[in-house]
Amino acid sequence: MSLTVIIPTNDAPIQTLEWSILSLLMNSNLDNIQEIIVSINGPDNRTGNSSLQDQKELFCKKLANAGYPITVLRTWSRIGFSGAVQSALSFVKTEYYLLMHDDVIVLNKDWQKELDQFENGADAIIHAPVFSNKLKTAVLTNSYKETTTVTFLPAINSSFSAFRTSCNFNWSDYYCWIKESDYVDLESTNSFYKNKTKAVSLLFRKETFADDIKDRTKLELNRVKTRPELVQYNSGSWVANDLINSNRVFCFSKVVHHLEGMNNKFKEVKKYEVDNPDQFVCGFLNDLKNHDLFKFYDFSLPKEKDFSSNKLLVCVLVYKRIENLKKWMDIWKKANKFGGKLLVVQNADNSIDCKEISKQIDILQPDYHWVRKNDNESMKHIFELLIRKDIVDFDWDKIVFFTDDCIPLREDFLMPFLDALEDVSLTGGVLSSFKRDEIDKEGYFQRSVCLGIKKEVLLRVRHKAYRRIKMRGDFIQPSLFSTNCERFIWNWAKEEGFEVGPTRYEWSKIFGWDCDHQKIDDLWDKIDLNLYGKYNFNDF
Amino acid sequence: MPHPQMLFDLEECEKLSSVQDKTTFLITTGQAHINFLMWSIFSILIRSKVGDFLEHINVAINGPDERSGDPTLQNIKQNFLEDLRSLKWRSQEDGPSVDMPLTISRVWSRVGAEQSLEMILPWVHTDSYIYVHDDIIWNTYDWEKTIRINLYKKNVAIVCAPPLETGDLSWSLYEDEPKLNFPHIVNHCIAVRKPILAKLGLKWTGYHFQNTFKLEDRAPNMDLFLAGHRPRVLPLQNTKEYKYASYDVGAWVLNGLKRNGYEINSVPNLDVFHFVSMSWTNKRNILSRLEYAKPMIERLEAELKMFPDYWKLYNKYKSDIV
Repeated sequence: MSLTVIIPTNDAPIQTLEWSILSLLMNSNLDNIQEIIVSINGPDNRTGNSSLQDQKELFCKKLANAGYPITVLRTWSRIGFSGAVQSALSFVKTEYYLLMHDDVIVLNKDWQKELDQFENGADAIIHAPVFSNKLKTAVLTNSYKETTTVTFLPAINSSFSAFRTSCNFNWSDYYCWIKESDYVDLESTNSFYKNKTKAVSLLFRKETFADDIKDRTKLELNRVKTRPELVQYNSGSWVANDLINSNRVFCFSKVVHHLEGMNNKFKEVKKYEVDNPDQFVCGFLNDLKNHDLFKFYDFSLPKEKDFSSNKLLVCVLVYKRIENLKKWMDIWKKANKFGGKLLVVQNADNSIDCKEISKQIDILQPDYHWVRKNDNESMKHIFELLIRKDIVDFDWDKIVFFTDDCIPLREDFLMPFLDALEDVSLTGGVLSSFKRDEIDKEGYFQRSVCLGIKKEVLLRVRHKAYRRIKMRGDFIQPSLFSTNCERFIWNWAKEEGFEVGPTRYEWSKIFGWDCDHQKIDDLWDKIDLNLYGKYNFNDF
Repeated sequence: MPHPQMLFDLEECEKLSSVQDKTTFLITTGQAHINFLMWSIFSILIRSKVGDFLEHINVAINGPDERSGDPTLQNIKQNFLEDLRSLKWRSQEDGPSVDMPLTISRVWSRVGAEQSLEMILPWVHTDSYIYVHDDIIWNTYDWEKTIRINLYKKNVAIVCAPPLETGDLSWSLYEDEPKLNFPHIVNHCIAVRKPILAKLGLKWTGYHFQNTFKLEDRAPNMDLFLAGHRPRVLPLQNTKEYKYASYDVGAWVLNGLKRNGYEINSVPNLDVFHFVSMSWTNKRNILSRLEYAKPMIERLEAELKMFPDYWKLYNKYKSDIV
């Protein structure tokens, strides 16, 4: 069986493209691959900086000149996945083609065996999740604060998926603005996908992906919201429609690891993910090290980071915002905990509400739940923990604490704190208002939202805290301490000679979101749209 | 009529996602001498009106890479286009100017116009495109209105510079064996309504393959088969098995449009000179066509002189053809 591989690439880091291509070459029988078409698109020198795309072209040509079956296709001053795919398709001369994103690691050589499903009549073999988005309507806000109600049609996942060429699938994307006079029958569309949901989920179900598929095959809207102003067909929407109607679809098993969205993420996130490769990438790079292809890899291997010696306590402070805590816990359950334990500190009074919240927190099953008397001096809890040995049953050496209006957005949201605490004793910045340039300026107002601190710092500064909070004459209003906790502790730690510093991602909404106070953005919808991280909440 | 599951049908998606009533020129270029490419592009640029029908120009360069040949010519063409891209587009000496509306695409180790055309089609963001060869001279001024009137008519999918030519259903010998040739659109200058072709899933890709077949086996109903191609039918042989079939560029487009009741018309008074086959013809033909086109080239050069930046660029890359 002969296959053409198409890899569209634009703004993803050069490293992830190299990982993708080299892992594919390493884990494939090249006798069965006619060619790998790398479709590079991006700005020209008028409209941006084309050096990244130049690097990609050079890397591909280096492989081609060494005899690997690489064809380079490039377009300047045009950007987009669908255009790059459709462009490359014009050169496909094989019966099947495989679309592969530029941030996908091929894990083993088994993937080509699974192409046998074509012999059983498949038109497509898709890697989970089967759909990159479901039918949904959302209100998007642009940088000018203008809102648009957008309906998205379901789109097939193209991260690593093979297709029968003769099906002539259309990968174009479309953006249709709706006029007042246009008739939009969203109810019928919704019913169609609702009726198809069961069939699709049975079709795509596979043991290894049961949870994921269950989530992504629920195609219909929970409720049809307001009439859209824009209907968006992402690349793969028309393919999804064709495949749902034909039912000639099969699933790959877990043969690749997808880093997801490396073209769209903030540049800080891209840098972070390249500098801190996950276990799948590390595993691949270890294999690459001993392979002939390693000579084509343009970068040094990352240093392994080991946080296993950490004794980490993660602490979330909550009063009445139980819904925020539920969201928090949802992420915590999926997160890389780095061996840490979770303590929920509940500031409570005797009200029925607080008692009810207490029950709900127990249902969420944090490792520890401390019901603390609400004295409007909430941030004191981090010092009280030093003497209340009954609350947690291990001798933690680092604490990362959050208020309940900090919603993590990524499974590795603790990493920036732990990374920074390798170099300094106190850090902040992710999910908080820390801003590197302004933290030391006089009168700069700090929001108390999250900090990562070594225990030794707290032990050394606690006398200052108690004196300033309790003593007359040197007194800080409790509420002032609460709202400026970060700033006070920051300064006291420095006075005691500790190194302090923000993480590399300060003032960033990449890893988390201060949902209560950063009212300039409402990210609830955006969390759902998966624009700011890996999570995809479907319960809006 | 709304699509039952997709809200809008594909033609509507194409229309609504495109810049309406604008066009994109598509040029594919391979082995032809760079002078031809410059005459093609400069004649379009200075004989079109800024801000009118022409929205953009996409040029696709195809040719060898260093493994498979000498890419020098294609590198020079890329350099020329990059230099051109840095200039402003003006079509009158003192007229308005805009950023050069130019997109460059390139594929290495692939040769051929039709795949290159399909390669740049996905980047077209207007509701029509005009495909021209890289060896033409655009001789018509004030052409925009003429093409618009003729193109945006009900049931018209394509208009072209006259004469309207299509190949015939015919046969010929290839390596001493019969080859069946299907009718196709002669396409040195065609204006196309993109949403119609997208709706019908029609592609410009040509197919030329070896396959042994008897005509009556592939076309059991011969009358129906021939009727589908009339009047473009020449006498066919049926004494020997065919060994080859040739669907040249646009054969499937022609067939698809015809089956669905769409028209292909020529535009009266649209004068686009075609050198013909400058990528692969012999020296004698090239000299003959250059001699014929000499007055047109001289007129174009005289106009180009009025745009000092264009004239400077033209002379930087102009070289002897033979």
